[in-house]
Amino acid sequence: VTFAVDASVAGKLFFVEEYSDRALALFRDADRSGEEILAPHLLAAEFVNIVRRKMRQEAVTLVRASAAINELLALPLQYHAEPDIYREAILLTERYSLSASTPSMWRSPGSRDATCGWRTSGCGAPSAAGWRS
Amino acid sequence: MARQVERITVTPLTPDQRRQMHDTLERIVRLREALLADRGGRPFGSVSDDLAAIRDERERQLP
Repeated sequence: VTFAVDASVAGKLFFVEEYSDRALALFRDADRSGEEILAPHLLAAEFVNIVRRKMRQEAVTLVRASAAINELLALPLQYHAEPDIYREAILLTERYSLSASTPSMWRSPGSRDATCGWRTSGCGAPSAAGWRS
Repeated sequence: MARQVERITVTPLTPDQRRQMHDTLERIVRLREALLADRGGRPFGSVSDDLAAIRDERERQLP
């Protein structure tokens, strides 16, 4: 079984909330089976933003935040880019005079699910945000 | 419009990667328990809502 996860699943793995147990179960399953976990390449950048928001709004300390980012980066995930994002990037960077080194800006209005919905339709529960093949 | 789909080759984790996965997950479980304990056991707000807000904010920053 192969999983692909997005930043919302990664966030739920660390921050206990409604679907956290399911997120942990996905990773435990991969741990048992030895299959790789796939991830869009923006996952880490979006995870940092989630952690920053948890610091600002839910009093997560910098020590804990740094530990979370270190542990996410320690997971042996296989990162993949969506080819279309690069085609979109060159158009957006030209249109808004942006640097192509700001991938967080590589999204046009109306394409909010470009990474979250990688082969899926939403950012909700891990069962929707991840997919199996 | 048709989207190009990336063909992905999935390979099993190597023994070192499997050990890394297992050890990292164990540390993550301890960390999430510590994060929860910091809040007196009160669950966090929705990460999906956080992500939606982050993406909305990013889109608003576009000129």
